[in-house]
Amino acid sequence: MHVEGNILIHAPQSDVFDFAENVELLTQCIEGCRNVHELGDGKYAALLEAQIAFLRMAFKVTVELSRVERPNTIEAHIAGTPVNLVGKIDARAGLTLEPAGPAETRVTYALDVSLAGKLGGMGESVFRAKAKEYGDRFAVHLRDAVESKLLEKAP
Amino acid sequence: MIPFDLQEPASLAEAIALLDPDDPSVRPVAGGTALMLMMKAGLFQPTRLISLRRLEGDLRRVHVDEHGDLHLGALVPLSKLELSPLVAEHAPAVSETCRTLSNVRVRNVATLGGHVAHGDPHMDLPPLLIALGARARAVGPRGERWIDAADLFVGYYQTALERDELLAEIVIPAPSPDSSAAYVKFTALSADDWPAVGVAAAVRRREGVILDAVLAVSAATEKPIRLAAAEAAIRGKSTSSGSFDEAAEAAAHEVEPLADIRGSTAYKREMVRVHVRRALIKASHS
Repeated sequence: MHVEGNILIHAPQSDVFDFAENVELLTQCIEGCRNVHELGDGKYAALLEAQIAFLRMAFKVTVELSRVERPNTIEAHIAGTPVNLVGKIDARAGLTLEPAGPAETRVTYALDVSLAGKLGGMGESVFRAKAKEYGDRFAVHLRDAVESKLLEKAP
Repeated sequence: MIPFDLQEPASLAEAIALLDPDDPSVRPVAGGTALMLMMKAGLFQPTRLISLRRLEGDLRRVHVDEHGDLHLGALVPLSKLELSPLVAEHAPAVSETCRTLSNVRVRNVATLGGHVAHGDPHMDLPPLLIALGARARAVGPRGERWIDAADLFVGYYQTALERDELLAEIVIPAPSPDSSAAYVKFTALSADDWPAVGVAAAVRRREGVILDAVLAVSAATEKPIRLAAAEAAIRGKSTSSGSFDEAAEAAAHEVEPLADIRGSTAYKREMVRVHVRRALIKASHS
């Protein structure tokens, strides 16, 4: 399953990158992402919760930054298991930053997710239907968080 | 399985009172054919299930009113719809659709209300109900209200029903003498699998001209939807295959299919094109 989208952020590319490479800040932009803590060696553990209609799903995941190339690219590998459900989730997430103006950055997000087990069999269609919605909301949260952080810094 | 509360109310009012508008994991259950699969898989963990099996009366009745409208109670099993002479006379496309809906074991247990209110876009009857101009009667603590079938489905597993409302009945308006309807589907994996694409068409025609058409697609999309561009493309045209091609082309352009194990986006778009044409041919020659 591949999901991608982009958003324009009114902030210089370096500020957006500083924010995005901070896993604890970035994960605050992901709806339902809680209990983020560092495991060491650039790895983090987190709990992801999603509510889709009457279905509530939770995943225990580890997040590892697999590629960080300032000022354009941040990639992460996310792997984990659902709580109370047989299955596995494995995802590659990437952010690409491009300057779009004097103090504007175009951020493109891409997510490749594979689901296995019961999760893949019954949950796949629902995930596919909602993944783009979740991705777009992440992008909006990222934009809002970066822009408000920039306002805080302003003299 | 995680323990949950199971209630078996004896009246509709009692059932409604047991619903919780603030807790999405409190669900009514009728036949349970869809919900039980989700529970077994661990995908759905209810805090409370409200079994509707003890409810009787109009909820289990099929009848035609003085205007010729067909009333289908929400707790009517799908096999009863399949075999009912009243349904066969007033909405033959519904009887026919039920014959290939899942399998006979499911149809004996699954109810119309569950089939519709579950909000799964792969269900067969929702697009047909949209094409037939059906309405749903929802009952809740604030009384009852009517929802057009076209407005009932709002997203994946999501309907316009509030969490404290139950679906009481579906009403299909009396058809005009010059109208007919059909549903066609394509199952990519096995004959009784969920459809990859389902298309319903209802047409009103006179002397070889389509006066009006309602087209709805499901399964390939996040929810059952009307195909407005395809409907416009066929309106006022002849019942020839050339006109159907135009509508099929318009449908393929306007639809936004979701890829899954039953087919890619491009494949489902093509299947929409093929099956809109087939649905129009079938409806126009019924």
